[in-house]
Amino acid sequence: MAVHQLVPHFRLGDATAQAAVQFRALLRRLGHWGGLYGASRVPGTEALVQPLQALRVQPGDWVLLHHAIGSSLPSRLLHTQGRRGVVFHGLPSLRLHRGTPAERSVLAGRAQLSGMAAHVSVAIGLSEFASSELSRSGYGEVHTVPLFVEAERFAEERADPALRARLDSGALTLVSVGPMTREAHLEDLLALHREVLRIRPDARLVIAGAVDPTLGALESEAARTPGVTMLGEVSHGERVAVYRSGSVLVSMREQDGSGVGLLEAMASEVPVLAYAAGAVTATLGGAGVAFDEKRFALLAEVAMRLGTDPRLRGRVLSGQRRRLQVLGPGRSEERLSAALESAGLGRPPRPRRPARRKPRVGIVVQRYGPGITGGAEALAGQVVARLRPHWDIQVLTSCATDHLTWANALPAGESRVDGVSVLRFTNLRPRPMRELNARSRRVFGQSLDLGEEEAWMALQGPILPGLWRHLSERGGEYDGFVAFTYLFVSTAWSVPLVGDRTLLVPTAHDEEPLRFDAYAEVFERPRALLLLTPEELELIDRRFPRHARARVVGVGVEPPAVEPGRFRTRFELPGDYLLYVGRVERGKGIPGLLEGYRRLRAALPDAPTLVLAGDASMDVRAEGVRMLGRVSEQDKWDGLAGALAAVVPSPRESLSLLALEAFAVGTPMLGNAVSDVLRGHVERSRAGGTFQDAASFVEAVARVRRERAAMARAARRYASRYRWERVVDAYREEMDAMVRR
Amino acid sequence: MKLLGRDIDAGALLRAARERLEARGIRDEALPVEAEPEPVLEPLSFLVRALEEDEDPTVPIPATERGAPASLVRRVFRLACQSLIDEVLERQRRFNARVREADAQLSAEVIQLRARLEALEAAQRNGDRAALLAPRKPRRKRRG
Repeated sequence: MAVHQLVPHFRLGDATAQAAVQFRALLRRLGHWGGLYGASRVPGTEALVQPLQALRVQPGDWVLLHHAIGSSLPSRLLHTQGRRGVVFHGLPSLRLHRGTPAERSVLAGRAQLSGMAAHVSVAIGLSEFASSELSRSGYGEVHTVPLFVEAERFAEERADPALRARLDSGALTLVSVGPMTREAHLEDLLALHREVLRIRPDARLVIAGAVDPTLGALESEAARTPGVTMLGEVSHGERVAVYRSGSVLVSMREQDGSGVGLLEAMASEVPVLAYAAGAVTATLGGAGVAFDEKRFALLAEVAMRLGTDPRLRGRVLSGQRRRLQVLGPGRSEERLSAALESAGLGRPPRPRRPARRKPRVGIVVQRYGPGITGGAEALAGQVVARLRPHWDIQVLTSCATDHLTWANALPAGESRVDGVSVLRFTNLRPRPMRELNARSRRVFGQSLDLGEEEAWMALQGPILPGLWRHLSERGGEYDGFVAFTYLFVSTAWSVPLVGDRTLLVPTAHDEEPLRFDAYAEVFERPRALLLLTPEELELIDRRFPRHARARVVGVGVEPPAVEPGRFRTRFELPGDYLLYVGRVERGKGIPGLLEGYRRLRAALPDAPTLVLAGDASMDVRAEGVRMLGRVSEQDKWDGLAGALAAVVPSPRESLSLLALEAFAVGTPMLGNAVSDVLRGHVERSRAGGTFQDAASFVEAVARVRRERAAMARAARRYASRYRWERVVDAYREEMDAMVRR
Repeated sequence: MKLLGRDIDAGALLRAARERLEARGIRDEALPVEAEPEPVLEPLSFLVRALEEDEDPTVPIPATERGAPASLVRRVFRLACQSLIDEVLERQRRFNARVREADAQLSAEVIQLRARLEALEAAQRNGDRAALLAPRKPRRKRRG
């Protein structure tokens, strides 16, 4: 069964959106899949959140509503089939909104809250304070599931450097972060700041968060007050910069519904000074400093001490760090699990001890089938072929053949490919390459929150709700899974669902998305990681030090009988040639290769021909360059055997099957020096060279020409390590250990 | 005022703060904070009241509920005729929303009651009279 979530208005950075994304991550870890649905969504979130109209509730499904004012969703929830629940963050204070345009919305929101009480099976408050409001509103089964913050997202290096530098000063700095609504009591922050100014005239108050438009007069007053900086809405990196620039985080909120801001401050190592109301006391749990009366002159003295006395500050920060450890994601996961179990939604069943001879294994991969090119997909195909005799395999994949669009080219449902059962699931949304590229340019290298990272991941696709429902509901029918390619959500959102029964083949290389913290669980939750090269292990060690047990397994390379002459004749290549086989596109480093080759032609009158084989998505026409298009397997092997060298210009490789295949037929390899993996192959094999620019490319080609015979011997020696029987044994050992557990 | 925190000596911190205030000749005053809990509203009654309030589309929207001022061109246009239409439409929109909500609420109640009735009828068919008897009235004590 699925656990869907309804959000009135989905906007990244908003509390409801943050909670929904966090809940979905927690639900995945509990083995439950569910979609996010918004009554409205801001542009750019369409891949992450579906429109409400797309909600299809199946028998046994759950629907959780995140309640907020101005929402039309309560009536929808009441008439939704399936089991219903409410997630409650808190509502604006009626007292503070009397006589304002929002008064009636606040009233309506409170009436809606009471109106749903009799019709839901479970109510979840995001704090004890929110839960007590739920109980008062008539809810019977109330659970508290606090939100969490991932401390690493608030580390110093995540702070926006420009804002960090701008705010950096020796002055005592009070900071306030979060939407500046009436509940934030801007007037109280200003009153405190004025008192601090009386002690320290250079003191500053930095306020980050969008200001409620109805607070224009207060905003003007703030702008006139010396030392006050109003930043408005800020990005995640800027948020971290504000926290990290603060001497003290001050909260004057009288109705803090979730306490997330306090957790963020604690993660950013800034002492908290907060009015003890709402979720504050329960969130702080004795950490930080809370106060029960707003005596601004007195509080100014306390803030002064807290911001400037190193011993006091050290003690408070140390206590906050301890508190943060208690309030980690594990606690939220436990609480949510308890809430769902009490309402009858336990964890999905695990497989019974198999009586079958062969373990039943699901292979999760983004695309699968004959004619589908791609390193990871080819590897998955080879693993299936080699392990078929030992496992009862079902491939779980998309209907796509094209990795750029994920268009549903093949029919959904079960089919057989080379005698193996393949279950295909429909991709919900084509991949919008232009939008994805634009988003990538905007977010890569930036400090992001979970929602922003997941929005990028969803845009990348493929979105396979059928696969996630299948794993959630029928995952227990498999003894284990092998999932390929960490990058795509087909794997990234599948692995947590069946976590410790999964062997992940991440095919990771050094690329921007690998810096996303959202991928941590993909590397941490599987039973084991099966890696292709020692460089991949080093990379994962660096990026996700808490990763699951990892083992460098590699692949097997077994060339067929080759006839280089056959390739030369077929493609009319009488002289020396360099060969590249793969997708001919910018991301594969083809422009750099063409530039190097142009220099080679200029430097060597008898330069070898450059032969490119594969589907092209760019123009490669140039003197001496032959574009063959896609070639057969046999042509590939024949071509590699006859080449002066294989060239691998891609800066990002997790293995480079092409290099290993070239080595196996005694052909050296010229690889892009930017890739650790290609450098590793060259250093270990001594069968080729690397290049980082046109000049080094010319040099490397000349060296291969001089030392081709010795390199060929070294290449064969190196390739002999890559035998399928070793790979198959490793996969079987890991699966058997998992099944026997 | 009390300071709360496990990692501080709250008494000493407060004492020191008060001493410094005295030394500076400043008297501190507490800002009164209303701490009463937010009201709990009964939805059907609220919706009925809301429907009543919005029932007459000719009554202008209260000034406090009007949106931000429009641009000059739009304002001229609105001055001419649009403001009345806008107000009427706004009123109508709200009225419709409340009607929908009330309908949703009432029909949800009906569905729940119907399900309960079905369960009771099923229990009756199965001869489970106990389900029909709850809640029992308290017995009168016999006199004498």
